[in-house]
Amino acid sequence: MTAVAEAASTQAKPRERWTDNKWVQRAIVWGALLALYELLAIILGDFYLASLEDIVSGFGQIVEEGRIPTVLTSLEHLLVGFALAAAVGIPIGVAMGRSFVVDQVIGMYVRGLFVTSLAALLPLLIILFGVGFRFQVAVVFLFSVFFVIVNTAAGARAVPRQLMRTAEAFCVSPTRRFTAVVLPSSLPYIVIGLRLAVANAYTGMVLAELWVGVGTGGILKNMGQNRDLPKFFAMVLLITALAAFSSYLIRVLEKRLMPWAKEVRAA
Amino acid sequence: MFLELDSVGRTFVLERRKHTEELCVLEGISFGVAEGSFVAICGPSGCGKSTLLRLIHGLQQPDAGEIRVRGERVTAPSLDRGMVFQHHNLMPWRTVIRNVELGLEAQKLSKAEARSRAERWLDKVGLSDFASYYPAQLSGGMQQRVGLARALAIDPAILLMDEPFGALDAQTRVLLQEELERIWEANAKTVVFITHDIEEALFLADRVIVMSARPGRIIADIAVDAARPRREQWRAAPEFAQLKGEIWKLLRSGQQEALLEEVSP
Ligand SMILES: Nc1ncnc2c1ncn2[C@@H]1O[C@H](COP(=O)(O)OP(=O)(O)OP(=O)(O)O)[C@@H](O)[C@H]1O
Ligand SMILES: [Mg+2]
Repeated sequence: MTAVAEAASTQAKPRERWTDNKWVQRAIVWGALLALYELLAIILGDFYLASLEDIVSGFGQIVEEGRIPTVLTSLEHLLVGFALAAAVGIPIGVAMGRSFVVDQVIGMYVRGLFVTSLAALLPLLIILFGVGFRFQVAVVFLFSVFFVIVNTAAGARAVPRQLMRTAEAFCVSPTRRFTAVVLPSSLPYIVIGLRLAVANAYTGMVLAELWVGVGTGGILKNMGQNRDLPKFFAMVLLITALAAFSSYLIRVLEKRLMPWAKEVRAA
Repeated sequence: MFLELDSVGRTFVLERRKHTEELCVLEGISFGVAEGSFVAICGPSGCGKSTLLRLIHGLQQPDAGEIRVRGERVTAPSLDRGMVFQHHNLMPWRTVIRNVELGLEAQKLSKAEARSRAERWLDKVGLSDFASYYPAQLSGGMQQRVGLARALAIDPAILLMDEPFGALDAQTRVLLQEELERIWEANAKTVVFITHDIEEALFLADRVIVMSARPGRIIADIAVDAARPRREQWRAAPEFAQLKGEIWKLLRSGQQEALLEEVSP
């Protein structure tokens, strides 16, 4: 590397104070929230809220009772449904964004279903798929696919015309232009779509299970009916953590797939 | 003639809500370019210079007249013509070297061959140390140089350049002009170079074609017979100043004519 390149990579960073560390900041905020919650739990009593210690022991009970494999089965439905949503949603979204005809033909249905309350369709889905694996996957799929389609379409529509024209000028074939320009240009939108979709996939997963009283949702239903609050809260927290972790995984993927965005930000 | 334009015209149709509007951008453009010569086209902003270059490249089609290269009508882009855009138009998700390789992907080259060719051109524009950078990490002048390397890498017979140095500061521009002169001398390409900078046109070109304001027409075709290599001495020559004054007057009268026409149709 030359002196110029080196100078660019070894920029002097301003000195950090310990309060600037994001983990310190998070610890302070979370600590305060937890303390507030504990206070509220003491005031309201354990009929309404479970205290923190109870939730922790509730978690232990969940593990002992062998609930974790059930959660894993639910996650399997989620994964299959979400993967299907991505596999179907991204191509449809790209087609909608790039083709006026496709947008006219299927855009209406996509936008219509996007604003429909999908929960209202659950009885129909039970008629179609029963209450087993296929039903669970279908609900997860429907809860997530529209976010993928709508965002991917927005990204494909926003591909700079200049860059398409540049690719054309350098004789990049129309099919190659898809992979060389349309996809990388839409990628930030696709990732946003996937992140919204995964959050909704969890909603769909739990909702579907609540409806037919199986899996993780079924466990939650029982715990709620039995007023088993510590276990109930522990379970809800577990699902929330899993959803947050999934979203985080997609962000990691985003950084992997879009090194140009990361390096530019860091520079 | 190597490159021929035969009464080329282009009109854009603009769809308004209730009616359509026609905007005549180019009218009766005819000129020929000999192989290996360097032609600059000068004209006021909005007179259709970029449009003309896109027509020559084949990215757009004229709706009057014809453009021929080696006697063959231009109907689509080809790797025989390399374009350097007014805005660099680099792919943000490709590293510098991958951007230079863009046009090489359509050619039947092995990966290693394409890479070494791209490296060679990157070196010629002085950016070999930045091969793995992303465009957003470069300065404006460096981005333009990548655009130049990208067009040169496909080894086109005709190099089409659209105000490639327009957005740069004076010093960088002069440096790049000299670099371009050197590259052109070494490679004997036919160049059509758009600029609204008269000095730039005079410094680089064998011929300066002056266009009027919209609708763009050719109002003068001036030969620049200075010995090469020109370097800095040419800029200081009295003939340089004289030609500059002449073109300046032409541009002004062309613009005034267009203004008068708009007032009294
Ligand atoms: N696709 C298009 N649709 C409609 N009008 C267009 C289109 N492209 C160009 N024009 C019009 O054609 C005219 C000439 O545009 P062009 O970009 O060729 O100008 P230019 O001479 O390159 O100007 P500049 O020096 O500012 O780059 C402008 O008035 C512009 O509005
Ligand atoms: Mg222009």
